[in-house]
Amino acid sequence: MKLGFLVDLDLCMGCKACEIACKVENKVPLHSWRLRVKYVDVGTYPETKRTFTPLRCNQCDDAPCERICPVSALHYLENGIVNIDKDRCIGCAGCMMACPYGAIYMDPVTNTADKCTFCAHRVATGMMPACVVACPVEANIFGDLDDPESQISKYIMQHQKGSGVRVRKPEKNTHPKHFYVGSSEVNLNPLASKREEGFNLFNNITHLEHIGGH
Amino acid sequence: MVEHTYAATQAVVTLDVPIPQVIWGWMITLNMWAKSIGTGVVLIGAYLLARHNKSTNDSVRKNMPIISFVFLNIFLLFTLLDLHQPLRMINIFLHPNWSSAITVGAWMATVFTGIMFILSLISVKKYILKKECNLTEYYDTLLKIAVILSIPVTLYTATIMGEATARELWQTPTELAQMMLAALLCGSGIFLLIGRGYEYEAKRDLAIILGLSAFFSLLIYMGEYYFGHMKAEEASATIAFIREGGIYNNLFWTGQVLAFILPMFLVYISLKSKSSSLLTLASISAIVGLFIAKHVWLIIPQLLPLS
Amino acid sequence: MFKSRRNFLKASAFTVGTVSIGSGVFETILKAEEKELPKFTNTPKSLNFYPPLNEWDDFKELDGDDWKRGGIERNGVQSNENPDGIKVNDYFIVPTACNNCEAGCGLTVWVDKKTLTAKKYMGNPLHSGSRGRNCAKGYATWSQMYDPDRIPFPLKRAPGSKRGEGKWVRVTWDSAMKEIGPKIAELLEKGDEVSRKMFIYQVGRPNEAGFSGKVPHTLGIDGFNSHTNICSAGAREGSIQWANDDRNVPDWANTKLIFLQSSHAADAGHYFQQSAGFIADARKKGAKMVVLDPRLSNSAGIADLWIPLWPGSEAALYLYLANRLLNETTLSGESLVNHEFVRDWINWPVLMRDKKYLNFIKEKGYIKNLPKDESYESFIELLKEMYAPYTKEFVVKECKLEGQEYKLDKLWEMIVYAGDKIATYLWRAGTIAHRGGWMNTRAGFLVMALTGSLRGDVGGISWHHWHHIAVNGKWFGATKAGKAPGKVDTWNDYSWPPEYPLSTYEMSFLFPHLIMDDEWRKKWQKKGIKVADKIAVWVPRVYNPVWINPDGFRWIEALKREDKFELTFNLSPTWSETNWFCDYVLPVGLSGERHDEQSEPSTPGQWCAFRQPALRVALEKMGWKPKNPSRGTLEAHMKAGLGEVWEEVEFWATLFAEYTDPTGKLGLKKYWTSKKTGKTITIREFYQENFSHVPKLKEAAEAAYPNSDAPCYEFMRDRGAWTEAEAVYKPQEEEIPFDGENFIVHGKKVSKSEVEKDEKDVLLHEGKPFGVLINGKVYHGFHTPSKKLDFYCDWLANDYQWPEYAIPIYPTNEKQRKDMIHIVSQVHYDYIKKDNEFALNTVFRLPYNIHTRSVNSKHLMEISQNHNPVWINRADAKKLGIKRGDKIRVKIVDTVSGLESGYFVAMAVPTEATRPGVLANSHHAGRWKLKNAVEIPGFKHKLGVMGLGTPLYDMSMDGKIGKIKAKEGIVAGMKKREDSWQFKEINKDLENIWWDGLTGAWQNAVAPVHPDPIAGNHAWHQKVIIEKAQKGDEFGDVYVNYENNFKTFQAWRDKLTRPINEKMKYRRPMWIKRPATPLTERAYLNPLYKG
Ligand SMILES: Nc1nc2c(c(=O)[nH]1)N[C@H]1C(S)=C(S)[C@@H](COP(=O)(O)OP(=O)(O)OC[C@H]3O[C@@H](n4cnc5c(=O)[nH]c(N)nc54)[C@H](O)[C@@H]3O)O[C@H]1N2
Ligand SMILES: Nc1nc2c(c(=O)[nH]1)N[C@H]1C(S)=C(S)[C@@H](COP(=O)(O)OP(=O)(O)OC[C@H]3O[C@@H](n4cnc5c(=O)[nH]c(N)nc54)[C@H](O)[C@@H]3O)O[C@H]1N2
Ligand code: SF4
Ligand code: SF4
Ligand code: SF4
Ligand code: SF4
Ligand code: SF4
Ligand SMILES: [Mo]
Repeated sequence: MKLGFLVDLDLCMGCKACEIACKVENKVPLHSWRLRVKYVDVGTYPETKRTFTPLRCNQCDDAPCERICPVSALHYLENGIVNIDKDRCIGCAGCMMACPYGAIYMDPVTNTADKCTFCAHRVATGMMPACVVACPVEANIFGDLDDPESQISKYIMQHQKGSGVRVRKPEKNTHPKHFYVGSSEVNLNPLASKREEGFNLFNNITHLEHIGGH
Repeated sequence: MVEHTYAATQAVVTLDVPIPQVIWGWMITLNMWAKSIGTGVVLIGAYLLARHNKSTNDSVRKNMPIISFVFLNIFLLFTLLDLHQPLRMINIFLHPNWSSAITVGAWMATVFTGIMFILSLISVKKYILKKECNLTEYYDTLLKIAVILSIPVTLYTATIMGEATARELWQTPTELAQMMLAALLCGSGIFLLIGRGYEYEAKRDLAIILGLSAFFSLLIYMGEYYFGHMKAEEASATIAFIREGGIYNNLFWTGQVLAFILPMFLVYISLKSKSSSLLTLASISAIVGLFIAKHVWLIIPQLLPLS
Repeated sequence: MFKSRRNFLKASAFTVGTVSIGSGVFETILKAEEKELPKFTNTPKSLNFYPPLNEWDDFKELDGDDWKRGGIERNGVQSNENPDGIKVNDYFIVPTACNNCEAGCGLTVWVDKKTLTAKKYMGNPLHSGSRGRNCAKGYATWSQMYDPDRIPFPLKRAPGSKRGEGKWVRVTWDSAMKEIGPKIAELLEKGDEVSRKMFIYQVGRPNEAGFSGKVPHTLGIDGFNSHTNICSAGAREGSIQWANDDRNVPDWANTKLIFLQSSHAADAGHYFQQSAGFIADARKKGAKMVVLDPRLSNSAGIADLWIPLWPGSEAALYLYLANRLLNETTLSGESLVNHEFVRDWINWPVLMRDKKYLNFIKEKGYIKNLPKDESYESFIELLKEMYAPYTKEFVVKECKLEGQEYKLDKLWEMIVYAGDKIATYLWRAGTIAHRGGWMNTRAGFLVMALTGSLRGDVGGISWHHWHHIAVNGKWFGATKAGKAPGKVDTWNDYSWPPEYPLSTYEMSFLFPHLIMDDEWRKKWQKKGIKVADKIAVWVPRVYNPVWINPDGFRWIEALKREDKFELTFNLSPTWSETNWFCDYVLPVGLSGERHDEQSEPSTPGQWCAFRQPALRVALEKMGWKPKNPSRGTLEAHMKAGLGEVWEEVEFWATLFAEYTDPTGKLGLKKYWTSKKTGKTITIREFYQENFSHVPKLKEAAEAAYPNSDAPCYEFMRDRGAWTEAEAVYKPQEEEIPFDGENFIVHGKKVSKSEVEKDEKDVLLHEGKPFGVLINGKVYHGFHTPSKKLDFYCDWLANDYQWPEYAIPIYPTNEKQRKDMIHIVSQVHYDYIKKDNEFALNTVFRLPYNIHTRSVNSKHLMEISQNHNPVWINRADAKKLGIKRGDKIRVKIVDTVSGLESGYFVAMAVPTEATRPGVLANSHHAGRWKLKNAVEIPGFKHKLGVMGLGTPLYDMSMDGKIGKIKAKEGIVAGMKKREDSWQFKEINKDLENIWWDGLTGAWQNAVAPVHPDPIAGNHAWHQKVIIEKAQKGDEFGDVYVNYENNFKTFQAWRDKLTRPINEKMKYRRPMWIKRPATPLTERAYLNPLYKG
């Protein structure tokens, strides 16, 4: 079993339902996100467009975070999920330096690393991840990549045309198990857009201090 | 339904959550810097013992382990302090993950520090307290092991940085060389400071090592500075922080001048004039400058948004 | 106890399957039911969206927080043998309905049996509108529930203090009711006409179907005052004129063209996430989407076509489309007009017969020639001629789309492609923002009528009545009264002032202005209208009028006047700017803490949802019983540690039955006491009765709970949602059965002999139209008196003084714009000339915020941070030298009175996402409070005030000038009060609040009111002049001359309206909606009438 995630960006409308459902489901504290939905405005008036990109852990098949973790707090589950163990974690932040996608945060309440686990606890209960259930437009597709009959496998097969099915930063050889349909560079490559520090149309685009620890 | 296609004219992030500020900060710089000294003095000390035994023997045997031990402890202390769960450091020994350079490094550094501890004991007893020490007979064997170990101990941080896949700037071969050079730079610098009474030939060798380490370090940094952007989009964006107009441009050059350019220059003059008086300044400049150079290098790749 | 319940449910679950249920996620449930659920393995065989219904009372799920210890692989599952295993939550899954916007989506509350806390809110898969899904605001109900600053018990203004001083004491519900109850009784005892206008129930979005209006109705008082005129009056006016219906109903999911003058696809819109889901379904099937919006909304950002037209010019664009539909043909020469539909279902014969009116429009220059006869063909010729001036050249100029002509071509192609499958929902946007915004609805529906989309067939547009189940006010059968109260015999002039006979609906936002305008009152009193001098009891509910209405300082000024408002109390779970100025704040529950029946026309079917207090339901299922059965919700919330949090239904019942009319002598008690017990009615009785009015629901419930005394209640308690009908298409074309002798009208026989037919072919019974004869058949028809869609509103022309606007029309040149000022926007480009003059778009929502409720959710605040910058087109910004982050003063100037209102200081953000000449500023930020926390004598904790999202402000006002200035941000405010004590365990992360909220500005404070002379809507947009901020200016500063604003109010009222006069018999057409209290004919009579 190899669980995978797919977001159809042609459907995502940036409502952030998934983001909040995730926070509540996993008690993700303020100041931290397992999942974020980023808006990028593209083009010049009157041909302006707005893109939305949900970003979460890719559960990489060859995960640098798992590799660098000195104590195997990050570890693989049988279903392919890169799971995390806060009791084991020493808080070295190596994983944060290693994950090419910025998917890991230091939980300010537990003071240990944490990240999206594809809601492994829900999966183990036989339930879909919270953010998948949450999405009003069914932009999130989740299932077993090993099973050719699963919805995700079929979705991947059916969407090979156009912009195709893509992953983030394939050149990093991490082999993400999180896919995007309807993506462009702007969605997947953080350097393809300007991220200007400070307040913008909707909120404060900023950095936060790396908290906890000392 | 339409596929989204965009004119690449203009793309601005208009809503996002904050992303973390620098994760590995000055503590990690301090950690790398102190480790360079802790291992550097062993490497250079061994060299002095091998080549200039006469005038340096006692001084090296006395000072090397103590200096190394002190700096290794600074290194370990800040490694620990930088952990969010320092008390759980023990997990590295209970649940080691051998694919992690952190694990491997931690184990080696611990063994290395252990050796340095014994060597320091001997040193303190024999050279400071001037007493008999029955461990003395192991000194040379332990030193040999230490010299061999000091190489991976100084290098492993580069492997960690290599494993930090997120940061395109740090790539293993260059970082390895850089770490090695940093150790040599620090080692020679330290001995130039404490070895003012050494014979000229020893000091000349130290100066040459200092000068060459500085030169090659500078070469690597300049290579990155001028050609790094060709490696990858990320590297290029990272290097933009230190290039003209970048927010770290000044600090970068301060580091380069203090750590490498000035020491090279001073070494050159002192070699030419066969006087060692400028070498103290060169050493201090190099050691201080190295901190700055390393710090800038550590920070800049962390400023990029990863997603 | 649990066990038997479970079996009971299991048995009934299959019954449900056979009855009509929404599609979507539910299929997964049924599938899951067939398989055994694999429990707790990392490699499960199937994954489900929701547990099957039969497990809702007992569902076990691994805990997401505890899983962080490495999951079951490292720790196993918690059990007696393995106490260190990963925790398993034991849930009651209680269905309820979201209350965060009017969509009424289904929710389920996952109540942890051990701690009696809600762990999360998810969707309800049985709800056919929301299909198990919610938007961010739905999921945020959880953080609102555990907001550390919610109000834990009833509060009363401290005796001796003034309103707004911020001194409060703790009281009990009973002591509050002891003061309020008799105060209302005094009015009833007096019972004269004026007393029956002195209780006002001022409601925001009701989010229930029929209860609110019954509160004043059972009192015999005309006291309902709803907020619709700041919300959606323009759309409602247009809908009423076309169809005598409140709003239209798009069949998004099956349409070919999603036509948005709103933001349903990705931002807001009525029924936001339900619409978004259906829109996504349609787009998956290839539907196109166009968005008309001066701002790049998220919807526009993902649309196939964005038309950033000048705000307020929509009608011009629509009439241009009408022109092309009428005058062009397909390649094969066929007409683009759906003549079959138009001929049968538009009231053109009324127009063609009205020679006087035809002459009138000829004089006006709408047409050059009179039609040659009364035929349909001549009508089409008339239309062709009338709309011919709306050319592409004209529309490009009027909508200011120079350079974007290609977009109009693209739009035209889309319209032709979609034909009668165009779905739209005209609600706010241009219809609310402008003077004459209602005409935009009139013109918009003309396009939809001509294409045939308005027929309401698959993929088209239908009307509200047919898709709505309103039974929340039908409990009287269970009461001693046995039936609903009779009509009310008085007319409230504050809600329905004489200047606005056609408003849709109450002029709620003018309330403080009217009550403080002595001259106005005296003028009408002199003419014989009995305007009350003051209000005895004023009760806002789900409403924060001070902040969300224009001219907020006027509200504060009025509310402080104890001579004008004798007693005020706000039913509100949370602090708000409004309850700061009230006498009582009475905490009632949020989405998962109250009872309501709600139904919305979000699909072409009919659904209703049941909102309930989840903790109470869980407690009751565990065997707990309230001591006082009519106070179950209050007692349950106290028991569960939530606080003394009550709900409206039980509150009003108790107040009226036990404190206002304890003896029954006022005739009020009987509506609120149980027929069975003679005591105050209980929720069980109340909802059993209400839901028994839904026929198929009743049938299913009785089958599922054969032994219950309250099957309908239990059925809805356990499911939370019901679908009465799934595909209701073109119901107007349903034939009325006729057996040769009798018509069967709504199940009743009506003899042919009692039926009259008028000249419009409308069939009437006892003077009331019930059907229409078309091509020899009798159909139900639409809800208009003509039973057809009214292209021409003869009543508007003949009885209500607005002949020039009785058909869809829009001025085409500057001279006409002067004559037709009533339908020309106050921010028309005629008024905006200089480089630093702009139209300000004050109307748009952030998808993750809800007016003034986000402040109670840490999660919503974390996204939005109380930030509302002024969007300015990059080119405009460059011209003015404005950069991102600059402080600017936004000065509001009125184009009728010419007066300046003052300014607010906001942050400018140059962007490609708004059109040149038009700024945009969301009202979802700019909240303020005057104290960080309130001390309650005798209570050991302080009560925090809106700490998660509101900076602290200084305020000053002197009757003329009002000012506010921020003095402390959110982080500082929260840090100071580590005494944030409620729900501490649940909110361990509060110290990580990182947003200051200091970039918000309360724009509504500066805005003067702009009452539209016909629809009565506040025309939201403002003409503004921007300048760089001055020294000392800070973000959020507000300076307003509200004395000037008062004059602006009078100018709009006195220069633009056509008040009722001696020629009008009634104060408003009796057949159009006047919610929510039914009035007698006498009450409708115009005291001025000399007929
Ligand atoms: N997320 C969220 N959803 C909500 C609510 C909420 O608070 N938050 N509130 C609910 C309520 S109470 C309501 S009434 C509905 C309203 O929902 P809608 O009817 O969609 O109305 P708005 O959001 O007010 O405005 C919709 C769009 O109209 C654009 N607009 C503004 N002025 C003009 C104009 O002059 N012409 C044109 N063509 N467009 C214009 C705005 O930029 C905005 O994008 O939303 C409901 N849904
Ligand atoms: N500038 C500008 N202003 C606008 C708009 C705009 O587009 N632009 N939109 C307007 C529109 S369409 C609307 S509908 C209004 C909305 O305006 P309101 O209806 O006033 O706004 P809300 O914030 O939804 O709710 C008001 C209050 O209800 C209380 N409340 C919250 N939850 C509950 C609950 O569960 N039960 C009870 N009993 N009370 C509760 C709280 O006191 C809250 O402050 O705003 C209007 N204001
Ligand atoms: S995305 Fe990052 S955190 Fe997730 S598995 Fe890959 S490397 Fe690890
Ligand atoms: S922070 Fe924790 S999870 Fe991350 S690498 Fe270090 S020990 Fe592993
Ligand atoms: S899968 Fe679960 S943990 Fe991951 S983003 Fe979605 S809700 Fe959050
Ligand atoms: S819930 Fe769905 S539509 Fe909303 S932001 Fe997340 S993925 Fe996009
Ligand atoms: S659309 Fe409205 S009712 Fe539905 S979940 Fe969102 S806030 Fe709640
Ligand atoms: Mo509204």
